Amino acid sequence: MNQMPRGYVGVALTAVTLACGLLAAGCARGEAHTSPTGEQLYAACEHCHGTGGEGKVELSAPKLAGLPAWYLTRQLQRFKDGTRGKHPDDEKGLRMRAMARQMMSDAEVDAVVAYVAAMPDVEVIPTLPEPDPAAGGADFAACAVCHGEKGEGNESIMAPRIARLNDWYVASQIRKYRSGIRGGAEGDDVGAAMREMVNKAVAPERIDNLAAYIQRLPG
Amino acid sequence: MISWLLPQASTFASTIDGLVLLIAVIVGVWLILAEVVLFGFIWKYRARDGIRGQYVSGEDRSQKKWVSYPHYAVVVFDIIIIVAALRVWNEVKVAAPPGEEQIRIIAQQWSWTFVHAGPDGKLDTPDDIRTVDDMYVQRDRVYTFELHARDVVHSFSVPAFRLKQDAIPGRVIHGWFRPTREGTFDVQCVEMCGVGHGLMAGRIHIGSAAQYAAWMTEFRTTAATANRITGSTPVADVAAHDHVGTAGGTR
Repeated sequence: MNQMPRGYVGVALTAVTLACGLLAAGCARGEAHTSPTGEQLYAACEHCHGTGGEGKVELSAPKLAGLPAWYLTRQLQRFKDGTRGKHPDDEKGLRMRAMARQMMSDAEVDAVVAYVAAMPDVEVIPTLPEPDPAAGGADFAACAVCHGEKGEGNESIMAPRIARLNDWYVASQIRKYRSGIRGGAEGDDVGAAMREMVNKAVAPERIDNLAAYIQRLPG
Repeated sequence: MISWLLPQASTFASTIDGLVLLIAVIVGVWLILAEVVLFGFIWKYRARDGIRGQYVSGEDRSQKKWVSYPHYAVVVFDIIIIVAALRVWNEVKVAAPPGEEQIRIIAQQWSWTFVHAGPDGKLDTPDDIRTVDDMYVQRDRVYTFELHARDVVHSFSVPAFRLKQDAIPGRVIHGWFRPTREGTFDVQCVEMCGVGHGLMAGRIHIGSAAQYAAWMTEFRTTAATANRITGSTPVADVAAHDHVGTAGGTR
């Protein structure tokens, strides 16, 4: 009986291998069409914000746990459209802006926000050196008009919950509002109002005290 | 030929394409020839019943020449490629024309900040204009750029310019380009720079003199001023300190 030449065997093996590869690629592509869950989408966030949304001060990533869904949605959309995080001096915001663009559709934003909003709130550790929270309480009176006496927030006027946020994050955001790094974009009416408020309500040297007070609010 | 797939929008784009084409033709011709010979011999000398394989030691001059001649050819064609590459290197990196305007490019995870010199054509003056992810230049104008990285190694790439230059923290890297075609083209980072690397995309807008002037006029009313912040400014000093009274628009 004549044997098949070895060259034919190699060609046949190569063809079978290629066919298997194409089949596997097709299957993988089919899986990619299913919508990712909020938990899957959050995998891109947890490197910086932590698995439980607790945040990482060393990466300047604030706590997300405890924030309301409407605020998270709004901020993700603002990062995506450049209303937030596109100022040349906003080094951390520029980083977050790119990450926010990973959420490709409104459905993905909704999914990841639902996952984050369901995270239980976590305690945060004070980080600012030698603040005076009691002194910050006096300045907070102006903030309480919108954000509530306990910092619980008021969705109807787009004022988010701020109680128990990281003190370093609150301080950095107040400074960004003061300088226009945040809230200075065209069309950002809420940001513009916030800028006006922080410029009136708190002097630069008292920002850390106010941030420390806000972190200690019960919410 | 490459321009069928990707437009050429800088003076040196065609030169670099020519080099790539030269290498592709030289390597391609020899690749095809070698493969034809290889598969031809595989077929011609395939296993047959009753014929034993012959062991060739390759010590005879008549046998060795089939190894030596291709080696000589590799050396000759290497020299041709090196000479062509050095000519391109000289045009792109050494014999830069005098710059007509400066631009600063700052890379960071995961965006590009461009500092345009403004009407005076010089950086670090009050009329500087900064933009994020969108760069605006004028056609047929020679730009010299300085490239900074704020955090990790990035690589500034404009495929339509055939321009690719690494950005390294702590170093200021200089280069130049002269746009030759109006339009909007991709800017990309081509050095793996972290989890958001694939999202670090920008655009370069090339316009006529009138269009460029219109862009700059528009941005002067809305864009943030330069604030003397350069790519070498420590990251901690960029956003953390309190810029009281800065105009602070965003673009």
